[in-house]
Amino acid sequence: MDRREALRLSTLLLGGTISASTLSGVLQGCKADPKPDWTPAYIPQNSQASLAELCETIIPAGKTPGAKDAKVDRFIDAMLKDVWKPEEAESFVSGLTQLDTDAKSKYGKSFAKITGEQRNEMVKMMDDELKNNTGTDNSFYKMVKELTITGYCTSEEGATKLLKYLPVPGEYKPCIPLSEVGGAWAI
Amino acid sequence: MYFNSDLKSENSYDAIVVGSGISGGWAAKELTEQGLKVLVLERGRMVKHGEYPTAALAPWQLPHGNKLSAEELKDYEKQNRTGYTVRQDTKHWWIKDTESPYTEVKRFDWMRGYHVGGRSIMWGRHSYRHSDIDFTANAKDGHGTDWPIRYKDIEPWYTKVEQFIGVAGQKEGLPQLPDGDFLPPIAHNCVESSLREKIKAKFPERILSMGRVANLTQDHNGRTKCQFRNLCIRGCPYGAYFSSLSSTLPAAEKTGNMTIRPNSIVNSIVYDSKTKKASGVRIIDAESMETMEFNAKVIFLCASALNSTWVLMNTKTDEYPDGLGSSSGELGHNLMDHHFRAGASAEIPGFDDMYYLGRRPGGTYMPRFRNVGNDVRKDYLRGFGYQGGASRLGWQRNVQELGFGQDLKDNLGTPGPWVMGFTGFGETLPYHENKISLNHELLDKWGQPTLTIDCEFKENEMTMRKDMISCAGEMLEASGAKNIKLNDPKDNAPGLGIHEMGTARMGTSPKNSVLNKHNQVWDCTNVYVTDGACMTSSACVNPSLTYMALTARAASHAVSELKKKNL
Repeated sequence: MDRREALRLSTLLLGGTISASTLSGVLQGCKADPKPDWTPAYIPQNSQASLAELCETIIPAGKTPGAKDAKVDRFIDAMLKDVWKPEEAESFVSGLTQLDTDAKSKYGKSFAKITGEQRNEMVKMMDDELKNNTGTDNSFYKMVKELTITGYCTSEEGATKLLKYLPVPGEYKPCIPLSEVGGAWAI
Repeated sequence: MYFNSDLKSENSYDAIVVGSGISGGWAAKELTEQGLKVLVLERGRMVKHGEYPTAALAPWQLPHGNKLSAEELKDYEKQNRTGYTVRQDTKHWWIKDTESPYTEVKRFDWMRGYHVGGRSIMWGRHSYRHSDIDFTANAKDGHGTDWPIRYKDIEPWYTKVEQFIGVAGQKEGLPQLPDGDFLPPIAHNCVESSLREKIKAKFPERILSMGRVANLTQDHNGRTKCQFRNLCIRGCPYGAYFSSLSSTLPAAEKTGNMTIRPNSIVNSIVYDSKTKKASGVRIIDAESMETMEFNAKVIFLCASALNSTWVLMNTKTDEYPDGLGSSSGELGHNLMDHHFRAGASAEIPGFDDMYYLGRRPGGTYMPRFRNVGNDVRKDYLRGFGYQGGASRLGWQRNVQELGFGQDLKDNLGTPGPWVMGFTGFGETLPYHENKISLNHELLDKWGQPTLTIDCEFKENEMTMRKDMISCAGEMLEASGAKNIKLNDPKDNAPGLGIHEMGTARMGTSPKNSVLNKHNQVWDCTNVYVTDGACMTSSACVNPSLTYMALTARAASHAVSELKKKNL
């Protein structure tokens, strides 16, 4: 959405009384730029493809959309840039760089270039290390999982296609069979 | 509504109401409906019902998963201490700490919203009556001073308020929590219904009721019933919960007797030492920084407990150098809040094939059962109630769990186990030494002195908290719950309950209190204070319903006194 147009519409809708800071929050809510040549604002450009593949390995497309469909990589980039503490964001990026280094030493290619099976193998290793509490540093895996799950489940794709999204229920039914809903509520 | 100009001839009213939140809205409604010309002064910006910019936004329309950026958060260091209020969808309802600072001798979390409607937009909506157990508590155990009123004095006003605002509630017939005039309650879900029976079987005095909330379960007074979105805090386009914006201010506006002036920071009351009455208020226009005066026969301070007290303290006269209403030595003292967050939660086995539709705007409530009836605690005074509820965990649980790929997706798409929680809300005793004072060293954005807050929970509260935790744990255990977690947050400071009370308390004599039994300042009877400042004790229930009832009662008194030419 054109920023100026958004501003004009918002002013009309809201009666022109809303503060600039509130408006900026509304405007930032506009959909991410759909151009395919998206450039990350925080993560290094040469890690971009690996991040996208890592998120997709954690939440793959199948009958329902995956992390790439939900543009989770863009969500993560914005979170690292704007919300996370600089030291946390830096540690995330070094974890991502390390992932590529590990992929190269194991398979000779970056995480983005190896096969889906090999990517699964590498993520499974991180998950097992966490499960078995092997003493290795799991902070990167925990961070990327948290960000991927949050980004996916709050995206339109994830919230409406994997999860059940009902913005205006209109009533409260306190006790119904789970089968009537057919899955977990998005909110 | 129209904006009053600063022409002298237009500066006189019958009454001035300072603040437009829960209490100010009621004062405006009652005074205008009884024929008075009323000026409502609000320090913040104008907001009208329906101007809720985020009310219909979906999760993906809120940036950063609804979190604030580090840059944005710099303005909300203290407001963000709740952990749940300052978000992309709600940040416009909270003040910037950078503009309105205060000083903490000990940690005190002071949460504020400066705009028309005040915190009635973001309030929790739980609406309970105080009982005579509460009104007589101070007199019986000697803490604080006696309330000058009893339940019978306020009972008709509770009814009047409930009938207007609409309270969904379940009658339980308990002396410690009088029933009100309720709309149908919001329903228990199947886990809560089961727990109500199990708990009652083991602990007959512990009743797992539903929260009594100012949310409409049916259309009411021209407002639409709840749509079960549970997005109240963003402002409700349906008007399905009570706020000044949806209810009292429109009623006042309808009379044609209200002028509302936003961006008007009341600096002090204009006191006439000859008549010993207030003649008006002095304000600073928040935008132009201009100072001006407005005159009225009667003034209602409804600016929230600490800010109403600030206005009195900042009204320094030769007679009252510590501020209007300070002669008893109690002005600014006896600050109270509820202590909460102590309790327990656990998984409830079974019910795996059951779910619900809709998001409730309130949960369960368990009325106080300690130090009532035959229960006498040796280790602490007063009591607590529990808010809580049962629900199935959502996708968020998977952040903490193992797994990835299709397994993770399957888990995200399936609701988690049922979890039941109890959070105690406990009474805080009135301690004279819990106090606020003016700080002329630190000024706010408008050059005004700020507050220094010196307040803490003491032994009685700390001992009660242990019992809040163990009672919650034992109920869950007795109900067959598993993975019981006892919640005992160590960073629990006053303020977080957002129930500031007591700094201009009511009492039985000018010697022990700031206000009389009609909420009039003893030293200046045409000034009424009817917000949380007036509270003589805190009880353990959410206080807003009591502020509303006391405000309506005081407004009626003011009108009759004006007619008798007593003010």
